[in-house]
Amino acid sequence: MNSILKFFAAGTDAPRIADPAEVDRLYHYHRRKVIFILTLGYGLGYVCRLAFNVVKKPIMDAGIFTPEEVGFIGSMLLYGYAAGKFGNGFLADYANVKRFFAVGILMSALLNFGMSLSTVVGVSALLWALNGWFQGFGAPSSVVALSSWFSSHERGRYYGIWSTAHSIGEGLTYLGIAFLIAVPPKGLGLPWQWGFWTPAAVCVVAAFLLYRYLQDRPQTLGLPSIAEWSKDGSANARPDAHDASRIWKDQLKVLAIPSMWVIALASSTMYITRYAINSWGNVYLQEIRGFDLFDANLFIFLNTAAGILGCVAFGYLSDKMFDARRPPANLIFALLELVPLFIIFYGPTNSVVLAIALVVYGFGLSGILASLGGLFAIDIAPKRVAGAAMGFIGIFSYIGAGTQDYISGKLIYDSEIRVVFSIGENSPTVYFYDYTIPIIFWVGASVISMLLAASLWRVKARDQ
Amino acid sequence: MTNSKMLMSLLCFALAACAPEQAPEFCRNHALFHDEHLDSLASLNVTMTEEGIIRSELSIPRSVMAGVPSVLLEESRNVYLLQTENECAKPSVILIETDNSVTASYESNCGADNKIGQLDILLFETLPSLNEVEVTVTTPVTQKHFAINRQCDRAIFRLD
Repeated sequence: MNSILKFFAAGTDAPRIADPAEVDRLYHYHRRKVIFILTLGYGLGYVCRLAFNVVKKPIMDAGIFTPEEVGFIGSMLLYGYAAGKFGNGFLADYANVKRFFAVGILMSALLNFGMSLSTVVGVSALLWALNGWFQGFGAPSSVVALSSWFSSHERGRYYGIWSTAHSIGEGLTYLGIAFLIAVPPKGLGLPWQWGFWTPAAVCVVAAFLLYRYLQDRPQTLGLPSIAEWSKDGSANARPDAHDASRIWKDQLKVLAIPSMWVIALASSTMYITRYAINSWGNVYLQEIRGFDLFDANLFIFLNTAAGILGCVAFGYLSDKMFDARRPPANLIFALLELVPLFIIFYGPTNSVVLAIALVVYGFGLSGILASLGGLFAIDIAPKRVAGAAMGFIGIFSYIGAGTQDYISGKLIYDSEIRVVFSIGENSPTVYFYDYTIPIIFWVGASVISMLLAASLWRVKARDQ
Repeated sequence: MTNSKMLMSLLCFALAACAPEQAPEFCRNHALFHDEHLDSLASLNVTMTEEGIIRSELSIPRSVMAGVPSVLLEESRNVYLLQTENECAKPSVILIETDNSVTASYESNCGADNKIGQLDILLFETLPSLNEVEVTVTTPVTQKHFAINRQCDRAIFRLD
């Protein structure tokens, strides 16, 4: 046990380099390397989180799992991720992030490989829950690395660059993995197992890159801390032991803020819609709208790609137009999310209209996600417990997302009609589903989220 | 052999060993040349309405009947069976025979509140010479078009 802890522990400080020019050179060199490898590593590692979404329909078509079972397995990843993100956040603060992150991604690769071998629902659920846990190593490690190498005044920009990793991962998955599985001529028509093997291989590469090129704290190279080097007094990269002992007490204080509970519920219901579209959207587009696997995933990718702009636009709009008041921007972006949802599910069936609606939906959703999932909560929480507020909102959000996956799967499965052709030992089966009730659940969740967020119209940000 | 080479070989071996058996080449590529034998195919159109009515229209080339008396098709249970929550009304059947084909239309009324769980198509058991049927199933919310071939263990989609 001790040797494991020792392996993951943050490195010890090296003797300080005296030459300021050499310090500057090393800092510039490693900062470039850190942001590049963090973005690439997180993006590649993200593929191991999404693979199941792409192969859901082939797995259901093959009769391996019912939609209810698929929903149950999918929900396990989100519960595992919620627990992992929360728990690993504490661990990452004191870990050698390159090892911590790399091992998390490597374990995720192994679990994806395991998923390709399992046709037992309990085993798959366990593997996918563990995958969620290990995927939860990535974000805290990245945030710790960013805090170690970038001052608070430049962290926003670099955080933005790192955030594009989500789109890299989603692009690789929704286009790349879909290409492998989709039938020719749009894809290679490989069996669904390749939808896990390929992410596993990608994540092994990501783990290697992270282990080889990510850098532990600057002090382990004999460099000064980022606060010292950047002369940014507020850039306190890592908490000391005294801070750590107060984290739990600070978190409890967050629970006493009523608005925080409302934001948590608003975020949770918004995550229901977010993950419903990401998890079931491509299945819906194939089952009900008749798109093939590749096109359906391409549509889902459009919404996630538009999300990059949504995040940036929300911050800009709320800061510049509403003097950093989030509620007006919340309402605008919630409507930008909600109106396209109605068009997607109840509007014209034209492909161009669908594509535009998904882009606008992705834009609106990401804006509201940036606010309810973080910005608004941080505004309301005392600044010294901002991290705890994020953790609190995060837990609620992923419980919402996970519960959604199971409920959606169950609702879809309840509507199943099987058409079975008896041919000797073979019984080719074609499945039919009705998404009417799940769609009400998904859209309804967004309506509730918007109303909850709007109920905080008069809530003001704290300055301290 | 270096450790990395050994690891790579092991990984390749594991992937190959675990690879699922591919569907026969014929089934995987069938959609590409499906158009060429449309004239000799049986077809089945099933429509399920919101009111719980299930209409099935079956068209079978004479060559496929091959000694099977067409009167067999007058019994809907030789063609399909419905698994529903509540019992459906006895289906009505209309059989039309021409020189080239036999056409049968079935209509079952299961009621609007009834839950249809499964539709078993028994054509391949009733007609031993039937190799392939092109199927369109329409439910109140979606439509699927595919072929079922005796040699293939999955439906063949993307026929267009």
